[in-house]
Amino acid sequence: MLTFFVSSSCKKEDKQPKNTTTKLFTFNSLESEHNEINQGNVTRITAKVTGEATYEWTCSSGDLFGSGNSILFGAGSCCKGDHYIYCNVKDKNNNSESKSILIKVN
Amino acid sequence: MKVAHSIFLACLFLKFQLVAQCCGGGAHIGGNIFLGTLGKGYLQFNSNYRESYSQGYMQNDWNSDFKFIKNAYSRHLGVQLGYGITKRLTLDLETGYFLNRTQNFEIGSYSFSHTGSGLTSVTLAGRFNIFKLKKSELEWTAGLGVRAPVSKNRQMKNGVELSEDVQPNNGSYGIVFRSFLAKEFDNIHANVFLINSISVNSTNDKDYKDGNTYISTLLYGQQIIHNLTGIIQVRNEIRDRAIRYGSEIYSTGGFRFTLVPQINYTIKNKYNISLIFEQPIYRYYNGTQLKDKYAFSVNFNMLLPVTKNAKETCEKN
Repeated sequence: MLTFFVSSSCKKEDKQPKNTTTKLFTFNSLESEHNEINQGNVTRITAKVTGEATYEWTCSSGDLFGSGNSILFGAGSCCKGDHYIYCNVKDKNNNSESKSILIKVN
Repeated sequence: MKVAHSIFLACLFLKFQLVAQCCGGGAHIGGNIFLGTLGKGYLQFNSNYRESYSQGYMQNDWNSDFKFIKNAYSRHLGVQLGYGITKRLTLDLETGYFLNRTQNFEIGSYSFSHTGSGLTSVTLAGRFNIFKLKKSELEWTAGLGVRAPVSKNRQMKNGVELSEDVQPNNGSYGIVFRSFLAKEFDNIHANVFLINSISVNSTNDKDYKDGNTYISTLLYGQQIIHNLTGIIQVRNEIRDRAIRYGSEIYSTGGFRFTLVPQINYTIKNKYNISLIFEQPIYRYYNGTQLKDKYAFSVNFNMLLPVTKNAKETCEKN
């Protein structure tokens, strides 16, 4: 009887759904090769992340090239001034975290 | 009269032709050319296909050796529906779709390509005939339109947001003022048209505002042979600087003159096909900007009487 009770209890515990809110990544930093560039040039920006995640990149102005955790930011003739580049990191449990970095275009 | 009809129909497409902006790449500046009213009970359908190409850079009015975008091109489909509410008042609905807005980049040893596509915006406009003097064959029509974006969602590719210049629309609203002055010279089968428009844009969700645009167009049309009309157009386009975060962006806006030859062929007095070529003849860009090289369009138009009265009037003519 006791054996049966313990056995049932274990089975019930196994069926419980996994915790889907567990964050599957750590967003350590957002880094750029250069913090200042001239118009017509690019700089590489890298999201230092450990774990499984997907990446979304946006910027206040200018052009972004590439995909994944490392992209290039470039500025044409339109884009003199300060520009923020945003990286939003998301995992399959819908956890997300954003960081931004300021690049000055001369 | 046939010449007037051909120009009238050809002008309808100008709102779709004038889509290139001073920044290049074929950014849509909305319904900016305007014409007289339709008859009461008439329905008008216009469709248009336009390609534009930009390459190289200009600083003010000379060529620049600045390098970033190697070239840019766009392919756009435009549709317009017009309906004559009364003899003097016409309502229009216009929209468009970018098959592509592409920029090819060459930055040092890197080569990239960005392409956006999708619906542009919807414009609801009205035009009102202020006067039509039969004796002097002079006509003046003015109008007002409001433009709204179809979508405010920014296009992304592989998790990266595309730039303003390749988005099908930038998510802003707009108002368009239009004026259309026409003088007919029936004795020599010719017409002269003066068309003016002002397009005012709102600030979008990214705190970016496209520069307002002021366009003046002078057209002369001459019947060549039966059903075929040649039209020559000189267009002046002035664009204010764009504004981001409350500050003007230096390398935006400017002005240019464009020569636009076109031919229009009428089929069964009902359908019209036009071929149009746009060649900038003088450009002055603020700062350094991508240079518009040329554009061409193919247009199709039909005008149908819908109500019983309109059909009767049409048959009599």
